[in-house]
This record gives sequence, C-alpha cells and structure tokens, in this order.
Amino acid sequence: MSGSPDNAQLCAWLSEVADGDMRALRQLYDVLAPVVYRFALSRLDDHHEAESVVSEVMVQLWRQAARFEGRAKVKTWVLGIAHHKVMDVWRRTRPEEESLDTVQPARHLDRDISVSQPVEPDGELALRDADCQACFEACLKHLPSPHRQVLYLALVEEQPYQAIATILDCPLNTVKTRVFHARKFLQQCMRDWWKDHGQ
Amino acid sequence: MVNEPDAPEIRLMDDGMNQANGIMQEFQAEHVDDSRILAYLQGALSLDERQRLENHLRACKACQTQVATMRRLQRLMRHHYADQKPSEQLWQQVCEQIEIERQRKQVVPLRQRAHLGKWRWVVLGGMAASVLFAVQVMMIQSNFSSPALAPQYQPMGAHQSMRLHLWVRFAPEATTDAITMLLRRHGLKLNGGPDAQGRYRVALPADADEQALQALQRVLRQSDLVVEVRMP
Repeated sequence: MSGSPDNAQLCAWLSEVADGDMRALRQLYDVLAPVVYRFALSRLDDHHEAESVVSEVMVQLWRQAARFEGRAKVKTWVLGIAHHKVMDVWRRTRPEEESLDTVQPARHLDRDISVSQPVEPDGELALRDADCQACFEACLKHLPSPHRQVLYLALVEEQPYQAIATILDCPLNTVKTRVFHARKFLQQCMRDWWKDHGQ
Repeated sequence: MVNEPDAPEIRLMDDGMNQANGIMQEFQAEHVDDSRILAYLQGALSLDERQRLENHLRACKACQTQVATMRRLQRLMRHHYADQKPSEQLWQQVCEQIEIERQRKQVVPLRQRAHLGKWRWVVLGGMAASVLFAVQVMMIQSNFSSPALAPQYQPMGAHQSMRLHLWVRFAPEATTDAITMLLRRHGLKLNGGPDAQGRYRVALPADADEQALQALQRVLRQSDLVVEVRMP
C-alpha cells in the first residue's frame, strides 16, 4: 500500500514499544492492524474471529517487541505471528476442515473445472470492470481459504514468494502451487460465471 | 516447456523439480512463472531483468495474457479488500486487554524488564525479606491473639463461590463460536444461566479484582455481541 511507513520506521516503532511506549504501539497498530485483519479474514472469513486475531497479535507485539531480531521485515514477522493465531482459531473452530490445506480448488468445486485445461489463446478475463468485480466476488467465495490467503499475500500485500513461505511456515513450492491453482481457478470460474450471467 | 533461444534468461520452472508431479507439469507448460510476473508487476525486478522479460513478452502472446490476467486479479483483489478494516473500538479493546494483563500478570515488555538490570536482584531480595518479616510478625501476633481471632478456615471449594462474576445477556444474533471467542479473549468463563431474562452468569478470572471487574464490564458493553451487562 502506497504511503505506508517503510521497514526502518516500523523497526523504530517496535523498538519504542519494547521500551513500553504505548504511543509507538498505536502507530504500529494503525499500520499493521488492517493488514493483520485482512490476512486473518482471508483465511477465516469471519469478522469477529479476525478482530480477535488482531487483538491477540497486538498484545503479543506489546509483550515481545524486544524479541524482534530484524532477520525478516517487521510486516513479515508480524504476519508470521498472525498466521499462528489464525491457525489456532482455525483448528479450534473448524477441525473438520483441517484437511482443506491439501485440497486443490478444482476438486473443491461441485462443477468440474479442470486446471489442466489449456489456456485459451484469448484467455484474458475480458470482462468490463463493473461486471468483473461482482463476478470476482462470487468466485473468490468458492476459492478454498488457504489459496485465498496466499493470493492475498501475493497480490494485495505484494509479499515475495519466499516471504509468504516464511509467514505460512510452508515450503516454497506450496506457495507456488497455491498461487498457480488460485489463478487458474479464478480464471475458469470467472469465464463460467460470465457465460451464465453475462450479456 | 518452451525455451526461447532469444530469451534464455527468463526464469523457467526448474526441469528437475518434481517431474512426477502433475502440478509441475502444468507449471512447465507456462513460459514465465507467476512469481516472476508478480515481481514484474510490483516493480521488484532489476532494470536488466525487466528489459529481458519485456522482450520476451513482446514475442509471446500467452505470456502477455498471463501478465494481463495477473494484473487484473491484483486490481480486483485490492478492490475487494480495500474497505475491509477492523472496527473503531478495537484499539480500545487492545489497550484494555494489555491493562488487564498488566494487572493480572504484571506483564511488561521484555526490555522494560531488562531495564531493572543489576538492581533486579536487590529489588527481588528486598521483596523476599519483606515477605519473611511480615510472616514472622503474623506468627508472633497469632501466639498472643485470642481464640476468637484465630483464622476462620473455609470449607474446600468455598473460595470458588467468592470468584467475581457478571450477568451478561448476549445479542440474539451472536453465535456460540463468537461468544466463546469473546469470553476466551478476556479470560472469562460461562458458569451459569440463562436466568428468566436470558442472562448468563460469567465468571471472571480467579485473581480478578474490582478494577479488573470494572474494565471487563466496559469491554463487554462495547462488544456487538453483548446487549446487557449487570453486576450480581
């Protein structure tokens, strides 16, 4: 997001938080709470749970700011903390969906969308913007949450793949395959949606 | 995989990587992997890398499509999340949570603890000596006190009834999960109810004092999930 403070500024605030400065925590909150909230929402899809994660992450930040060693960027470190909180909530409230991590979007749909289908020559999502957003929202709902979460980090937070792997504590190839499947799924789903609702 | 002789530098998926895996075969059907395209869109490529990729894009229709799709998905995704943010009162709840923890566990940031430095042991030693002195004084006093003033022991479990609690009525639309999350977040426990008015008895942490009770009342009243909070 443009205009947001750089990593050096976040480090400075974090250092002040380690000294017990609540004003610095507020500065960090203003920058990081929306990021953590959206990240949690992308996986949990529940406003209250996402807010609960933000709250827990900020309290942990207050407690453990001095533990930050600067090996990763502040945002990556905080999102890593958030990921563990999100997974705690996930395991507690959706134990039956634990295996979703290994599910590919294509198999998760009632409609048979094969990701191995070749990309059409005119495969770009040639929709008008106004229609496109509605179509996208509809398809995003069907995208399995682990894929939605990775796509959020890659496209909205613009995190490099390696950083995403660090945040989610998973192999780099998992990140690659999730972005790949998520893109394919959304492309196909949006085309189908447009066939059903378009014109 | 398509290896264009005029653009060999473009990072293609590693041939040796997981050949048996169908996913990788799909990757290999594409010229440029998504991470490279994302780095391109983010402006994270060096000038040299960028020029090489753009040279390839000029000659590759499939890659142009891939870039256009990714760019459009990024725009849609950003638009979807643009208005999503936590509620205004969440900061207040974070502050109160920190305050409650401070009172309950004496939580202070790590470095602040370290600031006690060499005086830490002096302070701790002093506190231990004070406690020992106080215990001795009490023992001496008890030797001279009348039986009427002897300590009154409570039956086992009686201390539990002394635990502070509140009566809370939750919003009809509040789900069990949301209520559980709210209570857990503040160390609360549902231990009774509902009464005739639909209020539940919510127990505070065993070590909560009057100040914590007031703070928790405020926190609960601010929550969308709670309609009413009453003292017993």
